[in-house]
Amino acid sequence: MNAEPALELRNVAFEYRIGRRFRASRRNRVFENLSLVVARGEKLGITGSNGAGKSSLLMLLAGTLAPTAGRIVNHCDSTALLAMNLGMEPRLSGRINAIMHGLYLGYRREQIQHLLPEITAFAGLENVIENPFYTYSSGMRARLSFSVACHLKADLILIDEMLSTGDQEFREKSRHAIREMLKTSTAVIVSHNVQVLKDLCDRTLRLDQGGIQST
Amino acid sequence: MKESLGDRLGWYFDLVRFKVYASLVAESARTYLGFLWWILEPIFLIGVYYVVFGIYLSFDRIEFVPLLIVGVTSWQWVNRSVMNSTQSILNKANVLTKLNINRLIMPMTDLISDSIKMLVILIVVILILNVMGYPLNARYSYLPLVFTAQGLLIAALSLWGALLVPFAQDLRYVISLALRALMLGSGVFYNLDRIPATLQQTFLMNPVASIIESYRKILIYQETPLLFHLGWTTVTALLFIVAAVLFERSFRQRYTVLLAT
Repeated sequence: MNAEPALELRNVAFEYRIGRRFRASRRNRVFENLSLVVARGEKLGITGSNGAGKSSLLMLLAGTLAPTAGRIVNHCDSTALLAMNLGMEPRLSGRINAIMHGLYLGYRREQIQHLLPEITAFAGLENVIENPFYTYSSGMRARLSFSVACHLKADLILIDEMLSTGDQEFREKSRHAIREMLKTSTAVIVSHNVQVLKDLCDRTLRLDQGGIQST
Repeated sequence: MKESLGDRLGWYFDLVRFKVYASLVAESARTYLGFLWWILEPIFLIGVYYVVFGIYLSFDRIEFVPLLIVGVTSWQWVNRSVMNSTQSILNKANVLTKLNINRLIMPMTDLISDSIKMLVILIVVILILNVMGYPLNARYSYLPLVFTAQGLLIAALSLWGALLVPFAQDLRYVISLALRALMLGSGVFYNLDRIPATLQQTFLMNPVASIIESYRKILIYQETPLLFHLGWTTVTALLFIVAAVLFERSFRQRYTVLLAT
């Protein structure tokens, strides 16, 4: 791990307006004065109860949300938020869904085509990859989605609750794959499973009541 | 090395191209007749309108059938695309809340799929008109112009439909009602001759009416389309498209909250 910062949060606050109107007046404050530095190469785990703002924090880091106050400085060249089942269409084959999922995650078309045999083999779905996605069990869907995500390369990888995918054997395989994937990257991982975070991360923060409660 | 603009545009191109392909395949996989519905749907509508207007209401002009074919098929493109767009951002909430991508990608992809369908339908319409005695003529060279103006008009309407509906879903009903009024006021079942001479210019200020009339001029009457109106439609549509892009940029993160809550 390197002391050079990969990511800095400076007094970040985030709140959102409740309601669909342009000028909705009720607001929900998610965090206040959140300051944090993630070093280059560091793996940071975030845990916390439901509604603590873990996913909102990842969305802020991914840029899909903007902080209400404060500043987020991302020094990394590329950032990827790994999420499951992005835009999956049940009538389409596993192959088409894997390509679509990969494109959403930031792959170029030729990259994902090139990686597809490896992804399919990792998910253990070689024999059914041309079958419609609706024929897959939820475990098979998650395995395919996870396999696409874990082949991604980015400087900063944000992972939201995708470490408990599939059966025991696949979970072990996927943890190993994540470890390999994160070897050269900085990562922020959100999970309820503290044991998994301890296993994968250099440090873990607990988010609660609008701020960091413990480390 | 930071991701360059070229890389980003290349990725958007890959994404849109594949999404269009996937949406067309998914659409055909949902039904037994698949792509045939592209042709069957307008044929069925033309049949219904012909029975109502041509037989019951005795719109007995000699060119009523070709007039109806051109009107209904070009209207269907407007109607289908604009209505589809009202759901295009909402339907992709699980993607758009997680990825920092331009929200307009979703309606644009739907629009491109619908445009491909319209191209196929237009070819079928041209073949039918040829069989009915309306041959290919030099005015066909204007067809890409009319198609482009219509595509841009639909893009402008669809992008704004897609952008505004997430703020207030009531707008879906408003848009649906407005489309019905637009259909009746755009000459889908009648042409310009039916409008009193004093009102024709006002009628043609409706861009959908001038586009339908332009198609008819080329495909049926072998005349030059309404170039001034097409130019005006194109420029106005482009301005609305630019405004939609700027609006999306300003409110991009607001959509994440709207879609997540």
